Amino acid sequence: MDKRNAFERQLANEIDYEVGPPQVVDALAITRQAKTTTPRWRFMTMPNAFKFAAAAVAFLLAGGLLLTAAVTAPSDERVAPATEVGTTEAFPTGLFVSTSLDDWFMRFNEDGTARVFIHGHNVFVDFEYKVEGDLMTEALDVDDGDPDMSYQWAYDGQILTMEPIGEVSETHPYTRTGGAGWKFVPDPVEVVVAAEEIEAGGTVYSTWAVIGIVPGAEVPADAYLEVADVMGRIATEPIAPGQPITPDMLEPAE
Amino acid sequence: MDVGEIGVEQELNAIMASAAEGDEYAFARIVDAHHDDMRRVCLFIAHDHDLAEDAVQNAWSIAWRKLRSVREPAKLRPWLMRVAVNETKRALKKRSRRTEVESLVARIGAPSGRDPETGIDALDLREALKRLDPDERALLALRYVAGFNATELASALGITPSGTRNRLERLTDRLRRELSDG
Repeated sequence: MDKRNAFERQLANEIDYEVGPPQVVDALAITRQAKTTTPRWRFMTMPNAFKFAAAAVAFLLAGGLLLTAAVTAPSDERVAPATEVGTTEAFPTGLFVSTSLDDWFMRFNEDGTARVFIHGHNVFVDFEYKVEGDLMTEALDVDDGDPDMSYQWAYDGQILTMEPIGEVSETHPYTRTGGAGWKFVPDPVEVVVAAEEIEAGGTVYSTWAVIGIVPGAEVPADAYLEVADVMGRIATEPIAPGQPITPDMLEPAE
Repeated sequence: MDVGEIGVEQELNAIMASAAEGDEYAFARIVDAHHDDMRRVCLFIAHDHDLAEDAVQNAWSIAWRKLRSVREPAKLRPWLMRVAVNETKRALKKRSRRTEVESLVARIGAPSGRDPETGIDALDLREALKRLDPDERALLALRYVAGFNATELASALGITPSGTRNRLERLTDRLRRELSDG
């Protein structure tokens, strides 16, 4: 056996040792959990100290953006209303992206329902919200025993900030995002984007291309609208995560 | 492909179709066949039992909703691994560095000492593996835990079979050189 084969054997043994022996799987329980729950984000397993630290960082970021927004003109494209801070009628609806995690989105609907979700994944949580003055209260649509969470909110026409009041619950959407700042997404358009970097020469597989949300002004006119149109195609150039996929980035379909 | 293989493929097709339609018993058969390998792959990437378990459960939640996008039985296992690896990498990206230090602790029966054929010390190898980035660990885990060949690796990683062979060869050669020099 040459040195390379011997090393591969040693490597395989070491990896096998590190991951331990196979375990018995309760497949039906795993299935039922997969079926009945949306994937939970790993912030839930983080220490509280980190969650608070993440929230603090996000708050500082949002604060910086608020300061920037204060000295720049608001966008003409906004759908959510510019607002006085903290009146019931002024709470904005529409789509927002987290200022600290750029693949987290939250949509507030006018009917009092809302959804937080991760771009490109079927990971979402629905909840209902109500606004009284500068307080927004969210109630998850699951009976997890957690109390409703309230936030003090403010919106400047671009950034919605929501500061939690009291102890932060682990199961509320806001907590999972770890951020206080949410930037309004004007004129959102859903097109096919790269879920992560696709190398030139790489085949576009199902988990690499997803329906993404992009501000309308940034969408090329010929961006694909259906994932099926790009499946199995070869990329002719590197495609960055979040970038809308267009025909000139792919080899012609067979 | 012989008659037996055709039969297995037809059965897998039927299971996948039923699972995609919401048959939880069919889906459980898929879970039963792949879950533990997915967990072990994710564990090697993350070096964190809880994170690996969460990532794989998340992967199953995604699979439950997106299984119909997998058309061929041969693509199922690489696809599942791909989703699990992505979920693990995503979780690692979000995780605090302070919690990242949790690693697999030494267990009784761990390989130890210098390998008589390679001359490489097991502890040095273990330390070298810890220093790899998640993409490199994913490549090794898919090769040595999931047992993927170049075609399956290519399907799971989204690169060409020759590309996966090159990456794997470069990585193992680099490790071997580093450890032999040490």
